[in-house]
Parts: sequence; C-alpha cells; structure tokens
Amino acid sequence: MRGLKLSARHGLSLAMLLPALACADPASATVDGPTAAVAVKAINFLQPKPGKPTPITIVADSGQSAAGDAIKTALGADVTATVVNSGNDLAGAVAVIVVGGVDVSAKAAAGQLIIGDMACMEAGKCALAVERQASGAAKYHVNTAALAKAGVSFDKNFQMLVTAH
Amino acid sequence: MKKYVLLSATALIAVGAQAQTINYTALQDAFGQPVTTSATGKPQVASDAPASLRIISAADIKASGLDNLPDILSRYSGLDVLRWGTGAADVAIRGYNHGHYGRLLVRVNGRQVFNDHYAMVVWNTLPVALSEIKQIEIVKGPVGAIYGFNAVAGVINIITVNPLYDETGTVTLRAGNNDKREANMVKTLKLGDSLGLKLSAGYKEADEFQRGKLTTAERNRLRDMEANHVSASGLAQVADNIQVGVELSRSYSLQDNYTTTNTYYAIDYVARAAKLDVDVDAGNVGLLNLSVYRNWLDFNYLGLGTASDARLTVAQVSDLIQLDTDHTVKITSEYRRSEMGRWPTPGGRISADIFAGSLMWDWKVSDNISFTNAVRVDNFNLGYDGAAMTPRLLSEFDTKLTKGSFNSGVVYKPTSEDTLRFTYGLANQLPAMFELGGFYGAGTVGNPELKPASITSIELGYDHALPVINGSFGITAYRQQTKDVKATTGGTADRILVNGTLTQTFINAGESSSWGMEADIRGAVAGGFTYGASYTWTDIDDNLTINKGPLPTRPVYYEKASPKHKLRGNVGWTSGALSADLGLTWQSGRYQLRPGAGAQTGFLIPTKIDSYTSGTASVAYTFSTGTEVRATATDFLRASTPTTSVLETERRVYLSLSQSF
Repeated sequence: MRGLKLSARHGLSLAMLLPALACADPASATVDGPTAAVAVKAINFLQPKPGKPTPITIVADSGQSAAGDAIKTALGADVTATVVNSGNDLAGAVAVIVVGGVDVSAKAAAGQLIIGDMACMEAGKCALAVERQASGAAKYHVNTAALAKAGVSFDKNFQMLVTAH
Repeated sequence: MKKYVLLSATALIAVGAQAQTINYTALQDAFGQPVTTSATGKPQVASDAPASLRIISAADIKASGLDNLPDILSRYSGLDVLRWGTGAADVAIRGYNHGHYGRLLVRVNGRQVFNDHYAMVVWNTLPVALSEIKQIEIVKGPVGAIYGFNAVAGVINIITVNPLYDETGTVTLRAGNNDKREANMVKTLKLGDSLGLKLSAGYKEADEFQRGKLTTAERNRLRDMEANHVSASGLAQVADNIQVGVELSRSYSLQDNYTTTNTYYAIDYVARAAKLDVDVDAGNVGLLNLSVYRNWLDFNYLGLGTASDARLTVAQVSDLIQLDTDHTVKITSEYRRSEMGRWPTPGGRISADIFAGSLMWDWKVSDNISFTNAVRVDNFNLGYDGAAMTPRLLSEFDTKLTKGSFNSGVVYKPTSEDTLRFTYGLANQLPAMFELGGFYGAGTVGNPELKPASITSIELGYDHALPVINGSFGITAYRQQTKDVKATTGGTADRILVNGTLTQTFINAGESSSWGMEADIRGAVAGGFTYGASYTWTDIDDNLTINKGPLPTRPVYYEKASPKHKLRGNVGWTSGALSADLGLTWQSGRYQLRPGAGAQTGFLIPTKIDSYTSGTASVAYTFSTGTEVRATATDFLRASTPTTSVLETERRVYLSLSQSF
C-alpha cells in the first residue's frame, strides 16, 4: 500500500502540471474531395448501421457546384452521391455534406448526419468535421449538441475516438 | 451541460446499437492509424496511447516473410529474443531475458497464453497461424493496473481477424532446409449478417539445430521440433446490442527448452483452451464485457520421464463507460484460479485463487492533453492439497497477500506532428506456481512464502511524424527498478534451513535496476521503398543478496546477460506483384550462465556470447490468382550464429506457397 500512496502522489503531481500545458486549437479543415472521402467513413459507425450503397446529398452554394462535383467524384463506391443546391429537398439522404457556408441544419431530417468544415461544426450547423493531418491520420470532430438535435448516434467504440465539441 | 447531451441521445438509441466488439479494420481505415485498447483498456488511436506502444500490422508480418512470432518480434526495438532451438525461444522486453522468461504477459484475443505454472510463454503452443493475425500490439513497460500480475516488462496482445467483420481465407505450405515442413490454413465464414466463424489449423516440423557447445547429456535429450494447432471460433450478433463469442483451441509442441537451471530438456506440451465472451452495449451503463475462459496445459519432460499438468480459470466482468466527452472509466472485476499438479514428484496439487478489482480513468484535459490513471488490487490466496512436502509444513501454504498496481500517464500533443508522453508504472511479478510449491524433488522444495517481485518504471517518450518522408521518428527513455528479485534454486552451497532441514529452495534475492532507451525511425519513399531503423540501449545494474562468491551459484545474472546495444535496420520494396524485404541486426556481446564441471561443479560459469550481426531476407511474387510464392532466409550471413552460449542459430532457408481463397 505504501507503493500505492507514492504512486498517487506522482499522479497528483502530474495533474497539477496539466492546465499549464493545455493550449492550441486544431487547425481549421476545409471540405474538399479527400476530406469528404474520409468523413463519410463515419457513416460505417452510425447506429443503426445504414445499408450500402448509402445515399448522400452534397449541398453546394451557387458558384460552388464544381467543388460539389469534385467531392462526388472523390467518394467511394459505398455511397451514392447527388449534388444539389441549398434550395433542394434533402429527404432520403443518410448524410449531407455541406460545401461552403450553407446552413441546412433547419431543414435536415431527423437522423441525418450533416458533415461540413470545422467552422460549420463549431457553429453547430454541422454535426461532424474531419481534420486531416500531414501524417495521413484523421481526426473526427463532432458537435454534441448538433448530433443530439439530429438524433444521430455512433457506435460507442467510434464515439470514444472522436473529439467532441 | 452540453457534454451530457450526446450520452443521453446514445441511451435513447441504444436499442438499435451494434458492433460491441471493436472493428479494428474499419476504425484503422477511418482514422488512418491503428486503433488499440492495449494501453488503457479503452479504444484509442495508437498515437494517443499513454504507453510506449508498437503495433505490428498484418502487412508488416507478411512483408517480413518470417514464419514464427519470436523471429517477427525480434525486429522491433526494446525486444530481445533468445532462440534456443528451432522450436523454443524466449522473448523479453527491456532486458532480463533468460530461459523460461517470466516478465512478459502475452494474450491472444484477450486470453492469457502466459503459463502460470512456470511463468513462461511457450510460443509454439499459441493456436494461431500468422495469416490470421490482424495486429500485434506491444506495450513496453509495466501495465499491471490494466492486466494484473506478470505484465511487468510489458504486454503483447495478439489480435486475430474478427469473423463477423473480416473475411479471409489462406492456405500456406512451407518447406526448407533442416527438413522443415509446414502447412496451415485459415478461413472465415459469414453466415448472414449475424454470425461469423473462423477455423485455423496448422502443422510444422523441423530438425533441431546441431551446432553448439552442449554436454553429451544435453545433446542426448534433444528432439526434433514438431507442433500443430487447431482452433475454431465464432462471433454472433444475438441481439441488436449483444454479441456472443466462443473460442476453442488445441495445440501441441515438442521442443527443446533451455530451462532456468541452465540446461536443455525436450518437453512436449499439449495446450487446450475454451473461452466465452459476451459483449453488451448497455446504453448509458456502458459497454459491458463478460469473459470466461479456461486453459489446460499438459507437459512432459521427456528426458526425465516426468509429466504433470496446469490449469488456469479466469472470469472477468468489465464495464467501459464514457461519462461525458472528456471522461471515460473502466471498472473491472476478476476472479482467477491457477492450479498445478506437483512436479516432478507427484502427490499433491498447488493452487492460487486471486480476486482482483481495477479502475481506469481517462481524462481528456484538452484537445491536446490526456491524463490516464489506473489502479488494480489483487488479493492472492495460496492453497495446497495432497501429501506432505517435507520439510515444508502444510500450514505454510495458507499464504494470503494483497498487492496493488498503478499506472499513470500524460500524453501531450503540442502540434499534430508531435507527441510527448510521460508515464509511471508499478506492477508485480507473481512467482510461478512451480516456485511457490509446484516443484518438489530430491532435496528441493518450493517456497510458498516467496514474495512477488515489484517493478516500478518511469518513462519519457517523444514521437514526431515526418510527413516529408511519409514516416515517423520516436525516442523513449526509461528508468526501471525491480525489488525482491526471484532466484531459482542453486547448488548445495545455497541450501538454507527450512524447518530445521538444509534444503534447496527459491528465495527473494535483492534488487536490480536499469536505464534504457529506444529510438526508431521509419518511412516510405518513392519507388515503392519502405525503411526502418532502431537503436536499443539497455543498462542493467544488479544489487543482489546472492552470488557473492567468485562464481555465481544461483542462476541470476541479469546485468551482463542483456546486450547493451542493439542496432536494427530493414528495407522493403514493392513493385507490382514483386516484393522484397531485407533486415539486419547487430547486437553487442552478452553473457549466459552454464553449469560448471570438474572442479567447478556446483558453480555457474558466465560464458561470453560475442557480438554478432544477423540478417533476414525475403522475396515474393504474387500472381493475379492470389497465389504467392516466397523465398525466405533467416540468419543467412553464415551457416550458424552463436546467438546463445549453447545451440547456435542455424541459417534457415524456406520456400512458402500461399493461396488466398
């Protein structure tokens, strides 16, 4: 037990150091084709799991349709993607990828996962954003309030690996 | 407040939940790096783990071209392999290696394959074909608070493909020099969306090495290696939120072990295991796991004509709860019973009942800092049933003790490319059942009062991603201390009074400490080339209460038995269907104890093993039909290399033919 007490003291010392080290916001991410291709992998962890190919709608602002098409091209065979403008209906899509500053949060159906850039996620207009790192690793960011509002839930193992905001 | 919203939402939808066990393949694909539970018990991407962690992927295993786990593990920093023969090897982490090394816990899919009876791993009895391994997770440093006794140098978790998520089918045939022959097969089968099955079977044999300095008695005891295994497992989604898994296995190995008494014995082992897992996504109650398994081991020392058996039963319940977005806890309770039939003189059975409880708390302090703590308490109760073990009194086997283990770690990521890690660990190495009283022979008896060795470690690590070379660099430095080092029986000079009778027995024998460092770099460059290099420094200082004379009498000699320096490097190349791999290792000299003869009878002679360089090479061609033809050579630089002071490791050359289906 003496060892445990000593160990606890080590742990407390570490705890006191932590606030001083906390800093740095994640780099902002932009939804482009490669980022979207990573982001839609989160669909594999939705509960309940959707069937494949999974229908996805890409919503692009006017003037952003080329970016929308680039995203559509980058997505794999596990999804069927459609590019629409913000005036269109989103019904039937399991996930919605937002390009630019479009806000579809008010018109998204229950259970739809809205994917956007970091600013969109932090503002609560999107539920999920992906930060791709130079090493090739990916970091998934989720807005918990947006997820709850949309009634979207992930597999618990995946949920423990994401960064919640 | 908002942090709890996600959890509430999850609870509402839990009825429709799936995937209680981890889908390593899908998670690695999503996160772009391997995912592990080895460091804390909760899923983490490898770079977040508060431990010195190395994950060997299925692709790494395949690219190496090697045919056995110890050879594969020997390619990584901090690991030290003593190869005793074609079948037997001991794998150590951070020094202290010897015959029947007992500081490393090894598990296959969560089931302990470390054998409590002699505190050792018989690698040939692992019921696994290399082609079914999803990943091998190596945690360096004590992790007793997560795994309990014996995870003192580290833990190796071998994860095989999951038949519910992964599909694989491979048949492999191998043949080579030393009359090597091998065949193995792995196949997964999906029956609908809710049931996956996996079958694995294999057989291998090879002649024993011949060169080396052995006594006539030892040489007469050698046998050629032979091993086989069969295992069947299934995972079923029995409800939306419940998975049930079953594993059954049997394996056999005949091999020549270099034992703690510093001599060879041919031993045959039959290992059997049965395991049941139930995983439940219980909504906001967490991820529940019930794991129950039993290992049976029959062993027979052929040269002595004496056999016995050991049995391990484990029942574990755990709950992994994400309290909110920043805090995750894992609560575990465990009961385990280890038994062993008295050996080599039968007539009794020694047993240990262990009740344990542990708590892990992971705190995400900020986006770039995490702080993890884990504590575990083990209550140990020794028992003995059978005939008297004179001079021991049966009342001496009524031993009880309580030991605590602790792990703490901070991971700080100042940038997306840099990770700093500081960890502290306290773990306990339980004596083998053999040492506590399972051994009873002429003039020698176990010691039920032998204390667990206590190991503490403090460690600082730094990892840096190097996107410019599509690779990474890492360095770890540590300080480790071992108290109450266990010492095996010595000669007649080491006899002590046990209840008034001079007896050879096992004792605690002082302390040993070490400094160490591991540095790794790896990357990939244009043209299909990959490369890796590592340096391992290990400096051990023994402060023992034994072996004070001019020559050792008890077989404990750690400070000169571990090579101080090891350099490793490997280069891989792939171009279309063709691939090749070359690995080179240099290590400094070390000593190993050998029994003295003539005037030195009763003493152990430190015998120098000179520094050496060894190499492995493999080249493969894969046809469009999924057929792979591969040639591999190990220790190919010379006909045989004195990697130990006994049997030399001979050059092995073999051809492998694999077919996917």
